[in-house]
Amino acid sequence: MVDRRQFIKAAGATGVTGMAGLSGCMGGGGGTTVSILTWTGYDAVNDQVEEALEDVSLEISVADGSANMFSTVNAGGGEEYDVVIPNNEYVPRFIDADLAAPVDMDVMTNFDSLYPTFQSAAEGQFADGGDVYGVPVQFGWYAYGYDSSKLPEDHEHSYDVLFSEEYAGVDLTGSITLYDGYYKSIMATGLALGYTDAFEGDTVSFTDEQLTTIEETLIDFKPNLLGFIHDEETLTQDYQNGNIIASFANRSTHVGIMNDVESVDFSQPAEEELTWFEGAVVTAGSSNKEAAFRVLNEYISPETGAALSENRNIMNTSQAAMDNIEAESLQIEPGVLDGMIPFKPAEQDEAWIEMFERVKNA
Amino acid sequence: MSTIQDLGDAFERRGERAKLAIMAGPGVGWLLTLILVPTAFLVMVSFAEVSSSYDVVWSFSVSNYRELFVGESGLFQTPFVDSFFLSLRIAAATTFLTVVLAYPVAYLLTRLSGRRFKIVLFAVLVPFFTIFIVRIYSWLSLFGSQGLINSALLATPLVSEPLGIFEYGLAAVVISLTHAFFPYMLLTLYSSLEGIDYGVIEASRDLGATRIEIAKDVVVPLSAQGLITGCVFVFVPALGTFITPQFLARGKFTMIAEVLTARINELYAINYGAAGSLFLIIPTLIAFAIVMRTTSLEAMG
Repeated sequence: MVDRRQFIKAAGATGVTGMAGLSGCMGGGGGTTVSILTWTGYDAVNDQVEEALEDVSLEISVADGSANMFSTVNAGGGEEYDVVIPNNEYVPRFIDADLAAPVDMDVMTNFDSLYPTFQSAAEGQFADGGDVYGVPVQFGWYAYGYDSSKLPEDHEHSYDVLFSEEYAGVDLTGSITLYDGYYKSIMATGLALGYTDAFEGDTVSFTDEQLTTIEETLIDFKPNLLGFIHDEETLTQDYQNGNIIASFANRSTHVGIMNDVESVDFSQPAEEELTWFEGAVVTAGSSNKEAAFRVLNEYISPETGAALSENRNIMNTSQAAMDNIEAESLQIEPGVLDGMIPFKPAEQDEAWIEMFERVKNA
Repeated sequence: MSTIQDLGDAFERRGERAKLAIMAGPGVGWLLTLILVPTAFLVMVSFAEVSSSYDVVWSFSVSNYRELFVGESGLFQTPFVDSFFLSLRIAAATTFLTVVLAYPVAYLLTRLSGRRFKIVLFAVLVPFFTIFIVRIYSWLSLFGSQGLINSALLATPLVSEPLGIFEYGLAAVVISLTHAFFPYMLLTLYSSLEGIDYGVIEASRDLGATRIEIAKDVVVPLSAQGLITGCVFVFVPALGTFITPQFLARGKFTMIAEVLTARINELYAINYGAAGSLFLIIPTLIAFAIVMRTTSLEAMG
């Protein structure tokens, strides 16, 4: 027989236990939750990060591209997310919109292990008024992939492949794809036309004359294109169906395609690759800045950084992390970073996008 | 006595008004919150500017509208205008094809009953219960020079090289949209045709009308309301379609929704996007005005 007092006591104890359990399930647990807006694949190392940092739990949201990340964070006033990880050319936009917090170098102990190229890139492109606002996390590059069963491996690797009806004796008509985005396709066309001087400043800046020639080249060559495509599934299907001989897209996209289509290879064009890196930004509105920087520090640590790269098929900006990677597809040749052409904001953004729209509708 | 009666009537009227308010209130609130307020906001943003630090600057500027229509080469020489008219043409072609394809099927359905009716309806509608993106991927496999359609044709002695109409591009987008919006047209036409008194058709036959004359002079006029409603239900979503051209146009042209999305995503030009979106709303409002003037709610099914 249970009397009323015992019942109330037992019910109270059950309630307290239940609430404690519930708060644990909800991620309360007394720790800090760091919310991150980023690309797919980051959640693969959540457990590793949480284990390393103990009092931090992660909440990952995936966005459809850097532009989308900027729109989302800017529309929300920058308080919804602690960390956002766009491509490097978008970090200045976050800085201009006062959405980025200066990097806490005392917390970022792994910053020194970044390849010197990325350290100096952060101190240049991500700097404003003496402060650095972004941390390079992962990197890759854009060039063209090709079907080696049709276009021989020993062909002269050049962006010219993308703008030729015939190359190395192979008919390329209707078998080329360019990236479905104004920024990358215009830069690739500029490189194919030899406008390397446009990439030298803080921004990519083509002259009006150069832009006109780029537009004419794209319009003239459009009938020879299979299309402007960049998603891995569609490209894979087209390679499998024999529709594509060469495709301009991200290296990691092509690494994914190579897993399904053995004959696909990735080029190393003489004009150099267009290199991007993800620039992690802790938002100015974050109330967990210290924890957020600890998470970023973990993303470029030797162990977690390597695991992140292997899960995402993308190289890490940390040399120490890269030394821990075994996957062959992620190995880079020494000196490959020396000649890289980093993504930079476009000087005439609006003119570029308008031109690309004209090309598509031509 | 009459005062008591008046009071009673007044209470009854008040009670009816209260009932009406309770019934209509949530719907009206929903409409205000989710349609009128966002539309008003859209109009406001279309006259605003975006600063270099990506803040919306509330002002009254028509520059966004000018940008839509005035290009470097002159008036109406802009990508927006090109994409807008292209989208109108694609939506019109889609609507026409759905009418042509759905009319006979809808008519057939009205002539069937029982099990046969169910089988035909089931066969026609089941494919539309699959996820839209899956259907798009199916179309992706069917089109292209190496796609299933061209491959099948090449296997016959009739065709020696891939047919352009089955390549990715305009035809692929229109065919896919026709497939996607076919049920909207079918169901509205069916509901309209089903209401026709077939005694009228029999009478016209008895009076010597041919099949074509019956269709032209009796069936189409009597089902015109359903036809107009169906056209609106197909034309409006086809005009603003986004996913289908993304896959099947292969980036070789851009429909209006893609232009606006790219501007908003890439440049954060939400003011340009808002101004452009209003021009997407205008054909929709015109279409609905036509429906409201010509069609009763019953005919909409």
